[in-house]
Amino acid sequence: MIELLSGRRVLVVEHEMMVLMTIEDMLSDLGCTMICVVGTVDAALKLLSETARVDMAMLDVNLGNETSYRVADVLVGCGTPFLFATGYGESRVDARFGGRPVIRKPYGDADFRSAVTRLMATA
Amino acid sequence: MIDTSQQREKQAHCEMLIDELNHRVKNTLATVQSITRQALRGSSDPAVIRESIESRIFALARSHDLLSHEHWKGAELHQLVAAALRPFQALDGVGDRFEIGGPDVRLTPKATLALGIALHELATNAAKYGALSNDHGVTSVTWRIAVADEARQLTIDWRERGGPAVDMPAHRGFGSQVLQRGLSH
Repeated sequence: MIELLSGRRVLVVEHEMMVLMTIEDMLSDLGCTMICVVGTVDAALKLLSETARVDMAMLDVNLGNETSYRVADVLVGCGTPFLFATGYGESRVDARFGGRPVIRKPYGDADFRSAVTRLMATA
Repeated sequence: MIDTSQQREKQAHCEMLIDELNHRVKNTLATVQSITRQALRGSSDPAVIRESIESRIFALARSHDLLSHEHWKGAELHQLVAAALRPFQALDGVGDRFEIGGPDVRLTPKATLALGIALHELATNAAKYGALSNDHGVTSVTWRIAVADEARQLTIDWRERGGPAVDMPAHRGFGSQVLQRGLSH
């Protein structure tokens, strides 16, 4: 069986190390072997400018002292599918990203799988 | 007019605090989730799983205590090391087998949490397999600051001596993942 994310390169922008370990765990359960991880907007933008291809991205909205919206703007520009992860309600994601999928922390395997499935189906 | 604007300011401040609280609580819950997942991956023995989950939750709680003492502005590395190693120093015959030293270093809340759990993992490992697993090994934790390209870099050395001979582990456990992730992140 070909898994959902086999052969896909996924960008994860998340600043909490322990949360990140869960995400990596869940992504590898979906067959993902190429996971790029960064914790700041600058590192994410640098990675996007240097990496030929990112198939999907997951953005933690609140990165401590900044938000990931500037990364989202670039992803919109490239047409790369992405989802937000947040501890806030959906209403708290900036209005310019209305309609973009949001997954609320903490989330389980089933929520994660269905969010990623929907995201990749629209890609 | 003045009353109204003060009222608004107060309300905005309140909303900001609630947002921040929500963010912290959700991240803490996600952290506990991560601790649980890793413990279940690591063992199938309920007693081992329980011990591994509890000790990590307590380690997290100790770092939280330190941070709340300082209104979440950060913590001193000295204090963090002391808090992380305290439960191990309380073990029989381990008390004076730590050498701890380094300059004053102020850590951000994020670094405090990541380093707190990393120190806990190292000490757990030392107690199970390393210098704290026999009756005479010594663990030294020292740190220094170097300045390069106007950036300050903190180096922490964790050294164990007098412990049993150790083999390279066959699989990468939670502890080494925390160290590699936490410190590179």
